Amino acid sequence: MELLDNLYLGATVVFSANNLALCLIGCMVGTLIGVLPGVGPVATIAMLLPITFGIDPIGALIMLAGIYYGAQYGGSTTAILVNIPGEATAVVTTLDGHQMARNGRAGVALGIAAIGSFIAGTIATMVIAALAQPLTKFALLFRPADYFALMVFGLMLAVVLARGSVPKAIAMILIGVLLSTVGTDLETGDERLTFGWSEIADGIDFAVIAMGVIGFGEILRNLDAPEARVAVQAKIGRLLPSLADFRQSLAPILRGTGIGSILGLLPGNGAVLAPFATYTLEKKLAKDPSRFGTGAIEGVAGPESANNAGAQTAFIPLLTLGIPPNAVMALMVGAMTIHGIVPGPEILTKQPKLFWGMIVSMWIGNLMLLIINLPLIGIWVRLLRVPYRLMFPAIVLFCCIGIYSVNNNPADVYLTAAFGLVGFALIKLDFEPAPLLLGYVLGRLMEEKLRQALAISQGKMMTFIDHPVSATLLSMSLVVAFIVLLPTIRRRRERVFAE
Amino acid sequence: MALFFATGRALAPLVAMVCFVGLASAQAYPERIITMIVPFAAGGATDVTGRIMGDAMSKRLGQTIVVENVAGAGGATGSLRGKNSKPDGYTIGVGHMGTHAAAVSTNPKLPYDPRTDFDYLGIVNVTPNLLIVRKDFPADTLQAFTAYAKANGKGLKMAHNGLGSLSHLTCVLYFQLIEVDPTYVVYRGFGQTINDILSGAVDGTCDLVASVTGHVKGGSVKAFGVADEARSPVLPDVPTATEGGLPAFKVESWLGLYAPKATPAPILARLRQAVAESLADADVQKRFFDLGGSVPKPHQAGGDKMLEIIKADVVRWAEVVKKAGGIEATN
Repeated sequence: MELLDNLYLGATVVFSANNLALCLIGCMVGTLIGVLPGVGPVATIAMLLPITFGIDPIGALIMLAGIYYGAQYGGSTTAILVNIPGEATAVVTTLDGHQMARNGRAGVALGIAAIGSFIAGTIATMVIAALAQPLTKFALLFRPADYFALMVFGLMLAVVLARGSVPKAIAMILIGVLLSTVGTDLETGDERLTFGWSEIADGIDFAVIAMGVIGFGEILRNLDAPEARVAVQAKIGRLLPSLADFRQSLAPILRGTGIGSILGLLPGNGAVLAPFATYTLEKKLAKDPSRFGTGAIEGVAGPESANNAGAQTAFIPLLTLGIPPNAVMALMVGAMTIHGIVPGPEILTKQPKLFWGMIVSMWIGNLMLLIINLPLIGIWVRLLRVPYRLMFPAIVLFCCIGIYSVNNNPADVYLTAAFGLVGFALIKLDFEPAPLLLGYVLGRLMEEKLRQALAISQGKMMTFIDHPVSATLLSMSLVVAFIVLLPTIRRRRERVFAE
Repeated sequence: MALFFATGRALAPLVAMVCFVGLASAQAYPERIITMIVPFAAGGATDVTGRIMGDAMSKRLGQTIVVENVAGAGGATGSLRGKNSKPDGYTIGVGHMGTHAAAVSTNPKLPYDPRTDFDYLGIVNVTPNLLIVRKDFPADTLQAFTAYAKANGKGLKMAHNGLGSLSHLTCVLYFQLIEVDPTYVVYRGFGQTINDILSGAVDGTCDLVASVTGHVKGGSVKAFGVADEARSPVLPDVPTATEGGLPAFKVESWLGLYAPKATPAPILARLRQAVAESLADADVQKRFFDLGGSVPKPHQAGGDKMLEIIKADVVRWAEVVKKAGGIEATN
């Protein structure tokens, strides 16, 4: 009953003309920046912060939250249509989403992404409303050693993610991990692998690598082989998923929602792993795993749902503990403090209107996004018909603006161009870039957590086995490693026997 | 003599004219948008304080102040851009005890000297530092904590927000005073640090009152040893270091504004006036209070005082860093 009272309180806050309008604006701006390749929610929210000065804090946060999950919806659009992941979480969507577009099923991919996101958002919102407080205990269960084990597990998943050869995938992961070590050492302050170049003393930004290796690499490939592109334009296909598509996607959507909701809770940015983990799970559960990577609808539905669920539950550590799990949440903290609301465990008790208002607004926002996005699919799909000679300069331009806006640093744009060449070379040599990106994202966290865990245990390795969470995750990683390597070993033995 | 007077009389209109032109341009200032460089990412404490000041000052100057976040190298990237900007009053910047005092000792490649490269507009926000520990830590007072630290040494796990950060330097200072060498666990920023204090993975940290207010008030951590003469009005229940038997532990973090060196005097005066008026604004004072800080005390206010404090703090942190055997800042 208390829950209903609370939701009613939240509804009274949201259902004012003002806040509904702000929610809608947030969702539309979010969709827009999500769709523009390169322009991300971090830069946008940073730019919009001064505007929130003049609005009342609840309205401001409702709008910013709308931008955040709106961008999650919109981000899948560029991943599917032009193979550019704006965010770490959209990398997985490029795998099968873009292949679907190449097969003439762009509309279906976009549709199932939107519907999956809506279902995930709805369920995740209910989870937050009903269980926010007990779940904070779960969020605090993870210590550095456990995060390290989680990241190891994540890297194992990255191997499964790969379509082609396992050694190549492992090589890509390791390169990603190596790239993540560029920059200033956490514990000594020494610069590593910067070759005295101060522009990368703080490390290489994820957007630079993702946009370069996948985005620019894809553009170069298309320019190299224009026939492939023509094929995409010729086939448009149906605009919305059929009933059969939906039936096929329902279970992945629900599984993705579960995984995303749980990982999103972790204040150490666990949401990053959610789409990867879901993709791996779906690939393992599928009757015919070889379809993955060639346009399997489950490979879009699951990760997209996980992505959106994680984006929603990431609000729990922020609102109940005062811990921002990612860069966007850190900006939300900024927006709160500007209004004198100091994040901490008191928000729930002292600011019930803010807390419940935001939760109800999330559900309303998800509904708005579905309504905004479904009709837009037709327009996006028609964009594929734009001649590539007109489209690619626009994409490059937006990417450059987006990359520059991350740090206001021109060197990032040059670096992205360089990574574009790397991406093109990788495509030519038949290496997959997705494991590289996952290696990069997880590598940084993994190293930090490893060193923190060892500092805490004063160098004792047993710390990774003593704590049940980390012990469980590490043994799961072993199992996954076994599963991955087994077919390779068997194949080799078969070959030996054949000889 | 007569000649001198004659020349003087002849020059008088010219002098008057020059004065007038000077005055007119100062009066016309500001004619366009002013940029405020914040050397950290949007949403952080430095950024929010800068924005509150920018908002208040723009009302007084009649021009918008736009915040530009130039993060990187622990604030050095943005501060360097501030130093190199045209000294015309259309670029100002935010600096604090880290970027404009401690960095001299923690960053061997610091591309500016805070003692000579800036014209200061004044400190705008001060917040004392303090110690916080996890909720179930076996000490409730600074005395008990000090005793625990001495008994456990390396067994005490102190977190901080990064090498050379204010939370790190404050911890180093405190443990130098009580002559204990704890285990340091390094995090990237306060969000990570507070996470592991709440989960109990580490014992505590030293940070600004402004950073931890929400958690102290919410009762998720224990706090003591406010490093100031008097208790912080924001956390009146938290005892000071003096009450805890360690009066030498005094660290007050400050944040101030600067203009590039050689900004014309009339423009500098106009900016300083806007700062002073903004700080007298009850709304600004309330906003700072809500965030856990306060406007500077009379003996800290003004551009000249800020330079004095910077010079003193550069020396002070140089000693702490030297005693610690050198600290090279991350970011």
